[in-house]
Amino acid sequence: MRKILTVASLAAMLSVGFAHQANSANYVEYYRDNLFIGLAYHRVACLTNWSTIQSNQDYDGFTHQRYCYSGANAASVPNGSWYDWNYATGKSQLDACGSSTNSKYNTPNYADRSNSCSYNVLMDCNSDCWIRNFSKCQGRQVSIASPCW
Amino acid sequence: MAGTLALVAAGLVWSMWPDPPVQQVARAQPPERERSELLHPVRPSEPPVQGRDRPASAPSPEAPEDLAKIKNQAYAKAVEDGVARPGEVAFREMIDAFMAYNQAFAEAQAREEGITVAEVHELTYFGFKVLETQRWGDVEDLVEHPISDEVKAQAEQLMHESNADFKGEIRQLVDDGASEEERWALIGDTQSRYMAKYFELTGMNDELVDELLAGDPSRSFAPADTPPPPLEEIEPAPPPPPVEPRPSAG
Repeated sequence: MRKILTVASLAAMLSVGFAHQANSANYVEYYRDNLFIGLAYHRVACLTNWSTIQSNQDYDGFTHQRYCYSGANAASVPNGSWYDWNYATGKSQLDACGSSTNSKYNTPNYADRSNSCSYNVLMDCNSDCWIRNFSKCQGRQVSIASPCW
Repeated sequence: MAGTLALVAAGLVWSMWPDPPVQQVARAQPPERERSELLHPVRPSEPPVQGRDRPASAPSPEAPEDLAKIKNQAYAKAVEDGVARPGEVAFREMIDAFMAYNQAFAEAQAREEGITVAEVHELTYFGFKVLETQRWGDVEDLVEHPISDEVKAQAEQLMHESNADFKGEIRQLVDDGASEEERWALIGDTQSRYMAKYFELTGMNDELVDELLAGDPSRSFAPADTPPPPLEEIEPAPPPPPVEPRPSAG
């Protein structure tokens, strides 16, 4: 019985996989990684086609931790759980918004710290504010904890 | 599609082979814990279609608007009261306000992880404190010398490893039915180990971390990302009050 269920599941997964391969739309998907299972989150965005992550580029600031791995399942990222999404036109759009956000927060090349503002939790110089600015540029501002005055 | 059919056919042949005898071994399964939609918004199972599907707004913990004021007032009062670690007191009061404002999230997180709200509270405080310890510009000011890129990388790695190790350990304790006392012991031990190793790497100490947590309310921050108000709502600003000196901790 277990073997029959396994075969049925495998067939279903393959069918779904073929359906996803046919999807050529792009999305930006957002994930959050909570520190020590509290309510302190780091937020990151990845480019996906809904099925898999399409690029190794992490769209976040104020960390060196890696999250987006090309080819990985888009439903989650290492240590991070999914929480939001939007349509994307492609990598160039996300790169442009990443670049503009890096300029605003002076985090060149997605640096783990700013050259102009002092990192502060729950205020206005942190990964929350970075992702807020990025998502707003991209077309839809996602929810965050910090007010980012 | 032909590939799928071939694999299904192979699978059917495989499924017809008799199963080997199964050893009846009782295994204790960890309790199933409900995943809260508050913490885990539902990801559409099928790719959204432009023109038909729109993203829903995902709820998130938020900071109360007066959080900076709460922290600064708590710091001033702690200094006035002669408290030994006013920065810690102010930082904790800030986190207390954040947790009270996000009580529903705290309760959902506690239920999902099988721990208490008080533990989620302490872990949120510690998570934010650890992020503060990575403020390298301010750390360098406090230790009065540059911190090398290698040390910064090691401290960041320490943060990520402590986080990953703790998550594994606490979830194992919960699955094993450990007591709340045992979980608090792990929380305390994790905090002590992180801070000890961080001090060893950076030259920081408890007094300097207290200064770090206190922050500096006079510091100028990153440019605000809010749209300007309509012209008709803008009135001439009143003259600013005289700047009060920051209470000294000494």
